[in-house]
Amino acid sequence: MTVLRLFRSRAGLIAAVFAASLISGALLFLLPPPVHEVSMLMEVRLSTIGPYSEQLTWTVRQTIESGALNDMIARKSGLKGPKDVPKLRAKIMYATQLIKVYAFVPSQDVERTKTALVSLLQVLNEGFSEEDASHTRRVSLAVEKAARLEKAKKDMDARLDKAQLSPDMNKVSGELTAWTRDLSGMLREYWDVIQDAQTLHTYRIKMVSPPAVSDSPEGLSPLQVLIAFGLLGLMAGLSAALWSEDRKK
Amino acid sequence: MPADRADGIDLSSFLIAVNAVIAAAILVLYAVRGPNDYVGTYTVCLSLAFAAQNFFFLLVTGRRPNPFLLLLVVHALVFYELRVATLLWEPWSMVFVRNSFGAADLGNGLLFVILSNFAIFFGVTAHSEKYADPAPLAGDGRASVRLLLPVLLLNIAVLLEFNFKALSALKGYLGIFLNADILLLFSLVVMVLYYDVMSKRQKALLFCSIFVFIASRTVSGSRSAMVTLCFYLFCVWFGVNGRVLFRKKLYMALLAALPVAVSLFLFATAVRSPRLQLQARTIFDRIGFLDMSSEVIANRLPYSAVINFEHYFKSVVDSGLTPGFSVFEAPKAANLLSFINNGMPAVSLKAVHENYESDMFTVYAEPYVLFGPVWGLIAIFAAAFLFQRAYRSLAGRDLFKLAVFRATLLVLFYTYFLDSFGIDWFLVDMIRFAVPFTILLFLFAKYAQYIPNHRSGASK
Repeated sequence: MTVLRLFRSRAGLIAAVFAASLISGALLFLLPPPVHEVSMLMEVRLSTIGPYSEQLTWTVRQTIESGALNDMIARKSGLKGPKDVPKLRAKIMYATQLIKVYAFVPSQDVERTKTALVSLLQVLNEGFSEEDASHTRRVSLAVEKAARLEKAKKDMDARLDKAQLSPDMNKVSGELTAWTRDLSGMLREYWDVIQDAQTLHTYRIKMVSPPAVSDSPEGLSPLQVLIAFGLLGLMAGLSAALWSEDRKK
Repeated sequence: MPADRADGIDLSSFLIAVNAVIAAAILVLYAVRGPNDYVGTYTVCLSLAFAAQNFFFLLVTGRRPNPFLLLLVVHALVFYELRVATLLWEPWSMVFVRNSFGAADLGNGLLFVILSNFAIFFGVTAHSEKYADPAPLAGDGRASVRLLLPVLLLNIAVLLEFNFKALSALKGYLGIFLNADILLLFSLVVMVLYYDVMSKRQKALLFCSIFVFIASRTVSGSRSAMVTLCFYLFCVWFGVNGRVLFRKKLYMALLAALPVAVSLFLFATAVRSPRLQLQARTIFDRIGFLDMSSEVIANRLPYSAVINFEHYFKSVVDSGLTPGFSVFEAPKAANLLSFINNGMPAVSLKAVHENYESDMFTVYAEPYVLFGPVWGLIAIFAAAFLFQRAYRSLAGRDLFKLAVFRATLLVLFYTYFLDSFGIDWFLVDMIRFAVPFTILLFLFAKYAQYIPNHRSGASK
């Protein structure tokens, strides 16, 4: 057995590498400040779940992760600049519209990160609602226009009904009726399109759970240091022993 | 074959470099992108220990070639160690979202993987150092190869994989024994064992048939044709030559083939689901077996409803022993994980047929669920030991059969042990493949090679 033989012949070397690994693990555990996870859960709300729902959530996620909003977040939360905004990560909860936004930060940055997360929500709502508002304006104008056309059509129908028409005029009136029928059909389609567009754009981003700090800091516990660096030391020690044996040969 | 020369570079040396690159990538990605929801500092430290373990295994197998150990390391590097790096790059997994899963669970999963690999290492190296390694097989210099049968059968099998209406009646009968994977393995054995005595035309014909196999598989939407070929070639090469030594140029070609394999994967995905937009995270997810291991280990309790010997017995009876009817209505366990995740634990064979999905258990998660962590490690050690013992005890005078048995044992070790879909899956496949394997082995041994004054199975 290779391992047993190595333990017998190169015990000192293996023990030395093992100890060095444990010491470096202990240093890694003691030196850096503890890091906490600060996270917030939000929902990208749509009036209906449609084929674009997932796409939209991904767009929001990518926008957050790219850091494109950091400048606005910094301004909103009173930070010096975008560099002061912690690295924000976002994760879409499977088969939902929920997005978890989180960052790993040292203890002293926890409050700053919470503020940044709240600001992020405001920035998102303002940014996305601007587009929403302009679209709503366009939709309202179109709806007003369609309503005027429909009213004109109804008036025309009423006047044609009242009028005493000659046979020739009756024929023209028939054509006019057919034309107004087409107009009605077109208006119905127009309404459908408008409603679809409204469905796509009537969303807003809502906070589900406010920014919170994880119960325990992220990082290594003493037991984890012992396991991970113990294994690392053992394997490195065995490799060193094998290498030294080969070299001697 | 010409590449296998004394001046070649051993595969283990190449893998040492790959291992170092992946370990460095993990450290750099952790430094640049920091921890995320799935990978914490603990997992990164464990993955360094994992890299050190792989390095040690590679040093051992470099000294004394061990095909099982080499397969284990290739598997660990590509599907486990690399996955930590890809999760740091893009923390996205279709598996982790099935149930509640966090960085601590991934750490625990990786720790069990490391301990299990120790168990496999001890299992596959537990033999006396004085005990001779299986000798390389040199093709008989007097032999001549007859390729009509291998090429004809391989091409018919490939043709049958397309669902041509005209061939549907034939497929029912011929498909039982014309298994394309078995035929590919046997053809590769013929090629590697008798490469030196083959004429240029024969070589070209065999290469063309293998190319047809890859092309047809890819066109029909299978995404692993290239991987299957490389894997079988590795097993055959090791079975025949006893170690894998390639020239530097071939390693370069392997690296260059990587984009080709990715392109074939993308193309096959496009054929399978034209609307699917494939992204890097989908590929990372597909080759992340660490996800399956860790997730099943983390949710042992719900999965134990189907990962148990009673269910295995029922599913083997229904899927392997009762053609045309069923006794227990018990699908294979690997087909039921998705139903458990959707809150439907009791389902029928028909329901599985309508919503087919199979999930890998892996060599790590299955024993963990079946026996618990400690007995699970002992079971893994025992199984690995049996593979090694069976490989070493293979003997015979027919070189072709010996090479086939060695290669088959390596394929079984990788496909059904390391990438386990459950013991029931393994048994059902063994029942299905036993007949075609035996018939094709007989045909190949009798007709694919001609050695003067030699009868198959008799002394030369």
